[in-house]
Amino acid sequence: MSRTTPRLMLFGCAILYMFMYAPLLVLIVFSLTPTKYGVAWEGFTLKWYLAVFNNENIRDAVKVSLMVAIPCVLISTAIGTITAFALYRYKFLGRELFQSVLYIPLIMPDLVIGIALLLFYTFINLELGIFTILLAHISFSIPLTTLVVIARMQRIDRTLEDAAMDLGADEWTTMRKVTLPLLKPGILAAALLTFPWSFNDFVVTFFVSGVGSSTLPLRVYSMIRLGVSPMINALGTLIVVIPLIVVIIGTQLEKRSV
Amino acid sequence: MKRVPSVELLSVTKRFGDVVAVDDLSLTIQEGEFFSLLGSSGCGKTTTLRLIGGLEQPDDGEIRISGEVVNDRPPYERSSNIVFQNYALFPHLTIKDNIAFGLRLKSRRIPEPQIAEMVADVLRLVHLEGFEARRPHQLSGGQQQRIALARALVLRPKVLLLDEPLGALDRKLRKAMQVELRRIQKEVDITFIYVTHDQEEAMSMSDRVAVMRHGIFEQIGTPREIFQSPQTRFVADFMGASNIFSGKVVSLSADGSQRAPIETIEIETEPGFRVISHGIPDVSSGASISFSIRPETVQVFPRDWEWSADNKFEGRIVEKLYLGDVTELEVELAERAPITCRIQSRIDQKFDFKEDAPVSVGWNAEDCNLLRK
Repeated sequence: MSRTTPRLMLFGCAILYMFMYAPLLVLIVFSLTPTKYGVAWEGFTLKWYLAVFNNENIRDAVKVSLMVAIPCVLISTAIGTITAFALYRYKFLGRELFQSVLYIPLIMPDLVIGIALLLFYTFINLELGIFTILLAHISFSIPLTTLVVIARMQRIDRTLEDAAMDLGADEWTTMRKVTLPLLKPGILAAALLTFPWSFNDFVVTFFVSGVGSSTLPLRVYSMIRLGVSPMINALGTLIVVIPLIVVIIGTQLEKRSV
Repeated sequence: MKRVPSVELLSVTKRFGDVVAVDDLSLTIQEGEFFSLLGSSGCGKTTTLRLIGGLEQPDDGEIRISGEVVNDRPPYERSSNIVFQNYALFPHLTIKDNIAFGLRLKSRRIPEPQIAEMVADVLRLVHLEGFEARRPHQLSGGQQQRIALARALVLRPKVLLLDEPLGALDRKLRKAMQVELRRIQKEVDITFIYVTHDQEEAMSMSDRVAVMRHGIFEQIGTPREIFQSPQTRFVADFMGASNIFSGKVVSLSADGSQRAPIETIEIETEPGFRVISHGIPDVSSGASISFSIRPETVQVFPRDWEWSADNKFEGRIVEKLYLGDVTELEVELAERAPITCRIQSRIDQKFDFKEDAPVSVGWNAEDCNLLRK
């Protein structure tokens, strides 16, 4: 390897990061300046953030988003964990098929998922609203949670469970005292990754939401149609920063696990 | 009063799909015995152990522990404990919690102060006092191994099942742990069933050894019996008695002494040598027979040296292998009839054996070990 390689790699990294984070940086900078439509920095202010907190529409939308995201995280993590157990621990007819089918939603366009779900809910006469958003979010989160938990499961030594049973623990005690504690980092990571998936989703939610059930991304979209206010910048910053922190915590937990 | 055997297997069979891992095994192990299952990987020794521990269910036959049939009992209702090959310590628990895992289960109802005392006691037994608060990953392999042992012993099982517990340790540590295990076994007076592929390990620790192959026992006996008188070609080979010959019995003769009329027999081997061996009952003239000779019982001298042995042949050294305290010589007695001899290196030095040198080799009748099959 030549000596220029590290420099070249650093340069590559710099470009990558610039493409990824420069727009975000612009967004964050303009959320902190008082100009309404300007492109120039005119001093520091937090007034747009205050406006975000005082805006009733936004508050309502956040409430809807949380009402979807929190149950979605709980339910899809639970279902994902159980599915992971079934797929990883038991051999049954069609397991292979089931496992490969699981990946499909991860690569399927959101647009297709959204239209399909909308058709389905209308077909079974389900009234669109928070409930249908929750159902939709759960259905696209389960593959993610299942895969994260399976990944963790593959790293657990099966003889640990043999050992627990040998030492006198029955199946249930083994699950409670050995398997679940060892799976915990994986389950937590699944939950923490699912939260932003649900909270940030726009496309699928757009199709399955009803009147008066706007989540935050939907609300932001409708606000933008009336022109970009610096308040949107502040809100955007919050939406980026808060889930980012959650994801960082999630990956740290996953890494820390032995 | 008749003593109840510690562990009994009665015609136990275990299949995995089409593979018969354990094939109609029967075995009786006495209380307090150190019993080893010896064999190469895939011979069914670990499966046998897991069957006794309850982690596998037999397809056929009966397993008894202390006289009770345990076939349908799950592992958590058996009075046996396993020390796993990879130790299987719980990574999320401290050493104390690992050892106390079995003690704390509800069914046992032991008060916490007593548990602490039992943990401290068993840690003393394995020479790891004061390790309670550490975590498994902070311990060396040898230490983890001892914790695994302590965790099983603290439950005072009737039978301790050890699955190649020293496999992952380096040679020196393994030697030390062998002595340690034997000491602990005597101290706690529990039946040990020990699985290993290392014949030296089985020899040095066991009261009895069973050599396994393809799910059956080739031979069960004391280490000395197995080492000196292997009954089958496989056991002879596994124990390092690599000189195995086959031939036909050509004559039988009483050895002359009237009080102990042991017969000696003369065997003509396939390349055409006549070998005198001590006899065994039920052997008749003309029968085909195989025998093994341990390399260290074969003597080697220069051709012109004056010496005598019951069987003496001339040959040529084809290969010499220096192994430290001993030297291995491969001597060709005839075309494609090599014999391996292991001599003290100082003897080799004295005669200065060289490859291709003419020598005479020999062994006595009692060093011929006749094989059953």
